[in-house]
Amino acid sequence: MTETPTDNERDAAPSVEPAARARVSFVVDVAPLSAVVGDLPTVVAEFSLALVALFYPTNIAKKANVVVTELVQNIVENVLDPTSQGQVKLAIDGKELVISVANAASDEAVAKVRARIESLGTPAEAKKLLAQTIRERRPQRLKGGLGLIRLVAENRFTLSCDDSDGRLTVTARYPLEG
Amino acid sequence: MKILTYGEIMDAGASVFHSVAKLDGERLLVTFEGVIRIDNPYRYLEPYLQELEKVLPDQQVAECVIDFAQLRFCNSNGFYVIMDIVESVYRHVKGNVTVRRVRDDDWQQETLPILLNLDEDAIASRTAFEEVRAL
Repeated sequence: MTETPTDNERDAAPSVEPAARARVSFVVDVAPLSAVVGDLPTVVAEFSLALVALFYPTNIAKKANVVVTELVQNIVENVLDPTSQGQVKLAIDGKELVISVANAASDEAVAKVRARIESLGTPAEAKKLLAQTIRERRPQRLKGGLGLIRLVAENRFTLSCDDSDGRLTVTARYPLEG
Repeated sequence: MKILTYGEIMDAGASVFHSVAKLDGERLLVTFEGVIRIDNPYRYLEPYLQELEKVLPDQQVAECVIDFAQLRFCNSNGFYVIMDIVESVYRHVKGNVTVRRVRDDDWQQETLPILLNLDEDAIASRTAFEEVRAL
């Protein structure tokens, strides 16, 4: 048996090799969203994993995989306007990993996402919220409600959201330099 | 080695995830391998859960290992089914449980303890982790 890493050890930013400073980015635009018939979250997430892993440590690539999966899943499960466009952006430059997704959203959906993000707090607080939410939702096996919490509690991203012209953009940032 | 039961998730005609419960003497090994990405994993794993509930009470188990080392990804839709499988093992197996997990995998380090229900003293006192490197 080995010891479990302490919270302090896990709080520390991962070491990024000096050689791993590549600037890598991509944008995926899909329109209309009604054209999505396959598993878009998996396709984009596995591409993100493979692409980031070419230049950065696997644990960073895995974080990209989780974020893209959960955020793109939210897009395809919450299509307000089937004729609208969905967008995924990923950028990493040795200092920061930034992933954002954008889609058409109602004022109500924007308010709900904003409130959820504001409720997450620190990773430690988000972890308590994740445990509580899992306990509450498990009896009915309720879908959803865990993805955004997971990104903060488990993967230690900072989340933010913006809305303009009826489009919601959710951005997840992870610092690579401590 | 006796295979007690197994469950599998198929996606686009290919196996993407399987969990196997097997008995080696009095050692129960429950493995998770692959990725859970689908919308509703219960569609594939409900029979496995039912079979676990049926076969585990009849086994003589002195030692138990639950191995997540080859579970490469689990989306949030997969959390509850993992909890159900693990809970079935803890319910029907007496004694200590060793959980093998990947040292530098965020979900296995941060979220898995929640899914194991380690907040409960009765579970925590029976559980030890074995940390492994990603395979």
